[in-house]
Amino acid sequence: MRRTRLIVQFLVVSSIAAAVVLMMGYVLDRQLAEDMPDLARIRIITWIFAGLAVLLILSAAMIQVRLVSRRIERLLAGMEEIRQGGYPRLVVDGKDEVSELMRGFNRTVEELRGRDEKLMSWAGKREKEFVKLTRTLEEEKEKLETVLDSIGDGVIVLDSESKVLMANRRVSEVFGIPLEALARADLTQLVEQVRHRLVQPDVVEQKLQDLERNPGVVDEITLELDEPGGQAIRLYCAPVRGADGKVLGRIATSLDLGRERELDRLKTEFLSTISHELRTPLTSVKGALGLIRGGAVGGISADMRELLDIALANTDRLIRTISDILDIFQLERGQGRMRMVSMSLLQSALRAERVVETQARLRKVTLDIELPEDLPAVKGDPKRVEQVLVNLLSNAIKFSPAKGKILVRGGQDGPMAVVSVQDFGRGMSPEFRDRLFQKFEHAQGALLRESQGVGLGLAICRHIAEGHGGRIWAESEQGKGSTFHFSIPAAERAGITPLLPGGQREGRPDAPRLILVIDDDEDVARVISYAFESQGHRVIAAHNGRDAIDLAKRHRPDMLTLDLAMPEVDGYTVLRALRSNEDTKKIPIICISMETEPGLAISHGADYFLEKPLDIEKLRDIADRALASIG
Amino acid sequence: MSDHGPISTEALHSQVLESFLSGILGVDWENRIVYLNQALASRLGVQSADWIGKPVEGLGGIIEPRLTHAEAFRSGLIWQHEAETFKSREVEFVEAERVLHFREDSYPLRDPSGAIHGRLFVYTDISRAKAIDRMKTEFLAIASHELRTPMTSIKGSIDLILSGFAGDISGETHELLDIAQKGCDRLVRLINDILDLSKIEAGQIKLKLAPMDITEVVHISMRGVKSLADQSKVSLRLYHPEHLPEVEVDKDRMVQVVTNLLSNAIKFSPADSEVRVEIQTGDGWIECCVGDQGCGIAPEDAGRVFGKFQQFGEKKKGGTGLGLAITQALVLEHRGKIWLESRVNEGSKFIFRLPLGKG
Amino acid sequence: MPLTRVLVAEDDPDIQTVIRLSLRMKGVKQIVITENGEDCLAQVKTVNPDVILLDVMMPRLDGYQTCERLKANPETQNIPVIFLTAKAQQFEVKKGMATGALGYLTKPFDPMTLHDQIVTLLDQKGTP
Repeated sequence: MRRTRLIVQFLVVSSIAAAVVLMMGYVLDRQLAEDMPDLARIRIITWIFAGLAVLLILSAAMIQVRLVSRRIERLLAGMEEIRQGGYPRLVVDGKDEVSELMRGFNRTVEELRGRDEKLMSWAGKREKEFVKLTRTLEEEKEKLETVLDSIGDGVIVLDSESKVLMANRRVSEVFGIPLEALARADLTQLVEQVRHRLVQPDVVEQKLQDLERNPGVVDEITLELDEPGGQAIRLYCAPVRGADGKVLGRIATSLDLGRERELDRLKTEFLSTISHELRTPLTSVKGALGLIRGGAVGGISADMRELLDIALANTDRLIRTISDILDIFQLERGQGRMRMVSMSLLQSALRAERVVETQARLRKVTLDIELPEDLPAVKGDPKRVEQVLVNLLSNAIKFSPAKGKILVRGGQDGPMAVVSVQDFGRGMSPEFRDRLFQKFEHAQGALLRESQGVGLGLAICRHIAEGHGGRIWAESEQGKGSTFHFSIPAAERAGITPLLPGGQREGRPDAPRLILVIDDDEDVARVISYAFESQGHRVIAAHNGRDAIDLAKRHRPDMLTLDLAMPEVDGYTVLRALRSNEDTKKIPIICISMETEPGLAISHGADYFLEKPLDIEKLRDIADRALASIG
Repeated sequence: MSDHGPISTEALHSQVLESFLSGILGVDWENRIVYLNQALASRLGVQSADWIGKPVEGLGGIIEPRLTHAEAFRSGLIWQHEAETFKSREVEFVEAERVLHFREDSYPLRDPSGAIHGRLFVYTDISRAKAIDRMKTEFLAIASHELRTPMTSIKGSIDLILSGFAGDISGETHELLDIAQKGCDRLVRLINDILDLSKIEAGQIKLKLAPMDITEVVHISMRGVKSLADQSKVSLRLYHPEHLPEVEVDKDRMVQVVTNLLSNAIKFSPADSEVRVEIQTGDGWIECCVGDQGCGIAPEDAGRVFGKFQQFGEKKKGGTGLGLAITQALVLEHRGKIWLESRVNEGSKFIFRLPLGKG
Repeated sequence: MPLTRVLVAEDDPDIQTVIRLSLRMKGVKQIVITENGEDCLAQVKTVNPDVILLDVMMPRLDGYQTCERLKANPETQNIPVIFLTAKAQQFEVKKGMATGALGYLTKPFDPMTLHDQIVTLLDQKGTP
């Protein structure tokens, strides 16, 4: 049946049905012919015919539809299978349209399968290539990572937007950022991470910004970390270029200077321990002898007193030498930071005298200290200045003949205050004196070299003197004695450089200037302002720290007066802020406060100090001096 | 990490390693050069491209004449049996009449499967650090002299008073003077040790080598510590084979080494115990072991033992804290090795080994 | 006015002698010397000193730790603590002061002025 076309099928079925109906009709007709009149008989048969015909035709149609729809269902099922990824093959026989459709369907499926396979094999090939490529990349990456992780230095690669492309384990250790976080970070975040550990964060940030603006530049930055041991990281930055020469990003190799300095640090720690180890037995020696000498355990004879004095003087000398040794290493590393305050040279000299008292007494040498009353206060670190004076005195005593005399005099030489220590001993050889006169190097290792030339003590003294902005030099005549001079800048001049703040303004000392008055009390501010305005100066006032800094930066006054006790942003904070800002750091500042100790203010950067309640005359005087010094 | 195509990665690869200031040399299992970076190439005056794939021995002709110890190059080539480890050593290299010091760090080079397929050598210039270090050591030596001078006066004064020169002294005064004298002695010993150690570390010690029978050294040391041993009720025994080869040593320094080990052993030995010295020989070496039956040293402390100023137990039992550091330095100076074997409550053994023969 | 009771932690027996004699000479009635931080802490309440002198380098509990514990305990936090030590580098002093000590005296010290130096420190900071 299926071999023929549907219409034929339909005709065939209908014909068969019709034939069946006709036959049944004929049979019925013959049956009924005997019993019924013709017309009635025709009518019944026609109705039966009609009914049967309809029935049969419907049945025929239904059968046929069924036959077709079943195959259509199989087709639909097949399509579904295709959708699921299969390649169904329908069993087909017959030649009718549906069969053709099914055959066509099968062919299409074949076609589809063929195409898919081709695609797959092509894709398969691609994938293999791809996998190979990826593996090579992975290998390369791994090789690179192995090498990089093996190497002790840190390596960071940044893309053109300063995002981290790659970083090795060492970087993670050095910066203290876990490796996963590094992969997502950018340069700003990295710097943020270490910012609080940096000694000079602003300088570093500036440098990094410069590098970002000029990615093609090869440069190095040293990040000094504010940690004991002086850790530092040196970054070597170079551009990474693509095949076309375009800058793709930047690579920075971080050299953990901590490793380089490890030896140095261990040595210094060793020295610190040595110092401690040596001081401990010295404590028993000085303690025990000191007690006997002090009469703690009874009376002592004159001979014993002398012997004890010798022992004690040498003990003190030993202690000083140990301190010097440690000092030298600290100063070498720049760790001997000096805290500058306004101080009196006379006080220092007197304290130094007390330190060398015993030594002087032993050698029966007298110290004659006379410093002029108007010798200005100097800007220095009191401990260090005393150290220098002690050293000079001690040397002088050493080289003095018994019962000799040592003269300590002072004076002013331009901006410097000078102290001179004169002995009448054997003097120095010209070579030694020349060595003293030689310029003192500040390169690394120089201090050590120096000490081999002029001795521990003097090397340290020279270092300290120059650190203060002063000098040490000597005059000597063999057989007649030597005079050692120590100069140190006087306090008034110390904070002011010849550079003019603001850069443009020039003027004669009595030319009108711009003065910024800072005080939270408006009345006080007004009074001070009047004091200056009456001299012909221009005055602006600020009543809190924030305004103060803002105005200072904007207007760059020639001078400032600053009240230290202000609410919210206090005077010291303002002071520090002004001193660390490029635009304002050279402006002379007069601090006004109710405290009586100028040291703190001056160590924060103040140039002058006045007590409240204010003496206007004094204020004017100091102001004049301050303005005069900036020329 | 963001994805980049193979081109960028290669650029990164080469740039990264090339931008290193340290020299980098990679060799494979067969000692062929797989990598030679720009820094190293320019220092040697070669082109890296010329050397990739070539045997590293080939570089010998270029490198050896520039090393102060030519054998350092050859010894560096024999690494296969230490393939797994990280090693570090110092190499001296001459450039334009200056001696540069390099630290050579070497690491295994692994492929992604983890197998070792070569070794990586990284050369970092430590010349400056070394120079400064040497200067400091020299300085320390000078400073130590400045420390010794006042000691004479101090000690002298005390001794004079104690000897009655300045009259009679009361009991309490005597007690205090004893304290001062003790302090002085300790100071002197300390200063001497510091000086010694610094000199040794600076390589300023010239060993006076002569072939010797090591047992003679031990006998001298034992005689030196006998009174200490008797005081502590500790017995000293020496065990050694019949025939011992002679070994090249500096007699005084070796005596110093053995004395230090013996006095430590005695100090840490309980009364009525024995301190044993055992001497053994092996293939090209001779070994001396000083063992005590004291409280032993815990593993976590063992690493610090040869360090400077290390304390063990409640108090430093006399001594300066530098004894073992000096001992170690002296043994190393003899091209020997020294180490510790110990277990808590089972005593300790300090063993040092010296090479026999020259080279 | 001389100190009445002083508690000391110092492990070197010679220095112990020196401190004892030095303070006794100036009239200090009660001087208690302990060998380490732990013993010192154990004695604080019984001695109830005017001031505690601490060495830094001691076995078991060092000076810094001892001071921290003293300051952490409300019963002992008001007793002034002074470090007496050879460890006198800048960062060591900072570290010491950070634990709450009143002051720092370095070794070697002059035995004849030890007592007065302590009193000066106490007066300066206006202790009760």
